[in-house]
Formats: sequence, structure tokens, C-alpha cells
Amino acid sequence: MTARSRARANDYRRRVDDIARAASLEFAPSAARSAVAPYALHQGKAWDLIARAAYRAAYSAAYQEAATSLLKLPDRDHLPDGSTWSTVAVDAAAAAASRAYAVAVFRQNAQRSSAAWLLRSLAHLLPADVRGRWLQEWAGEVATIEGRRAKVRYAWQTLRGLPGLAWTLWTSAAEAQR
Amino acid sequence: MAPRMTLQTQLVLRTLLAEPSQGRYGLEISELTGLPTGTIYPIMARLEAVRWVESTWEQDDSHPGEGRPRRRYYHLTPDGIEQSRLSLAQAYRPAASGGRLAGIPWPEPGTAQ
Repeated sequence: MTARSRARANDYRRRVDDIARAASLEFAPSAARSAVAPYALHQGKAWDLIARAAYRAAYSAAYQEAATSLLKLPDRDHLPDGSTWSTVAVDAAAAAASRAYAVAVFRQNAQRSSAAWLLRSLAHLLPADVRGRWLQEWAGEVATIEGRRAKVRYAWQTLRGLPGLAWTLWTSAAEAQR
Repeated sequence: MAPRMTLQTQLVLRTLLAEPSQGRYGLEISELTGLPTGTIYPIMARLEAVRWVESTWEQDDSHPGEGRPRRRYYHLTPDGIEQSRLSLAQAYRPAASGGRLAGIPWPEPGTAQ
């Protein structure tokens, strides 16, 4: 196993672990299926296999079988190691897991206020590859704020800066590509 | 490329420079500077883009039993420390260009009456 594929596998394992944690956070382990299955349905045919793989891993992980299921994940889908499809699948599953986790954690920790809903919705202004990171960061912040009013104030304040943040991130991404 | 040194950016940099070795999370920076989080996050993104600041996730074992999601900690990079010190010093220096300060002619050395 090369260093690169080992790093990718570790990253993948970590992210799939994230989705498992999300499933356990939002639902009881026995209902972990509900957390991930709807996500799979929304991704279309090409993503279905990947999302189902992530789901199975999450579902098993919720039952303390994380190590086994995660290590066997590529094998379960009969994805030849090192092929383009395998690479795409792993990357896509990692991204899917990361996004699902971010949204689940945000839902779990943010108040179900209109501000939090708007924040989650307007996060779509941000580039897709960093959206999860910011949602997780906000979730981490909201979780430490005490009082509903303070949480709503935080969400509104953050919301007001969202267009500026989106502009910064998009321009940085464009500069990085040049 | 250096970021635009707005007053808000200067405040954030001064806060981070106060203890460069210590990571600070967004809400904490907001409280320390008195700026809203909506101002802080774009500034942090800009500083990250120019590599003055790095951010890392809080370690899972640093908040045992709290059961909350991880925070994102920001800290200045070695280059960021140097550059932000320079930029802050420049921001506070009287206008150096052309020996003028706010449009007032600045006497050349040795010409003062």
C-alpha cells in the first residue's frame, strides 16, 4: 500500500466514522438507517452505490463494528483497488460522509430557529468542498453558547457575514486554480 | 499577497499576536475583539488564504465528557507572525510616502527651524 493510498484510506475511514457518529448523534443506533438512507436516495444512481456503502459502514459502526466494516468497505463493493472508479468512489463517499455529518451535527447542535435554518440553507453559497468544514465549525461554536437568544444572535451575526465569506472563499479558490 | 489591513483585520491580528502560541476559536476571537462573528469568519478565511493563519480541529480528547462537536482553532503561522507585526507597525506609522502626514508637508531632516 503506497503512502498516498494509505493516507486516502485513513481519511476515508475517519470520514466514514464521522457519518457513523452523526447517525448515532441524531438517532438511536437502531435507527441509524434513517439517518443515511435518505441521503443515498438524493444522490442519484451514480452515487447510490457509494452512499449505500457509507450507510452500511455507518450502520455497522453504530453497532460497534466500526473497525471491521470500515476496513472491508472497498471489498464489499467489489471495487478493484487502484482503479479510477475505486478512487472516485472513495473520494465521493468521503465527501458525502463529510457533508452528511456536517449537516447532522449542525442540526443536532444549532437551535431549530429560522436563523439556523437560513444559515444552513445559505451555506450553499460557499464552495462545496469547504461547506462542511464551516458548518461543522459553526456547530462547534453554537454548542458552547448558552441560551436560545444568544444562539440565535450568533446565527444572525454569522449569517450577515456569509456573503462576505462566500466571496472570500470563491475568490481564493479561483486564485488557487490559476 | 498581504490582506487588506482594515481596522477589523488589525484588531484580529492584535488579538492573535497577544499569544501567538495559543489557538483561538472564532467565537473567542469575536468576544476578545468585540466584533460580530459575521465579520470574524471572512477575515479568518482571508488570513488563511494568504497563509498568515492556520486552523486545526480541536482534539477529540481535549473536551472529554462534554459531548459537543469539535471547535476550529486558529493560530498564526511563523510567517504570519512576522508579516502581521510588520503590517501592524506600518499601519500605525505616520504616512511614510513622500514625507507627508495627512496632506501636511513633512520637513526634510535637518531643515527644521
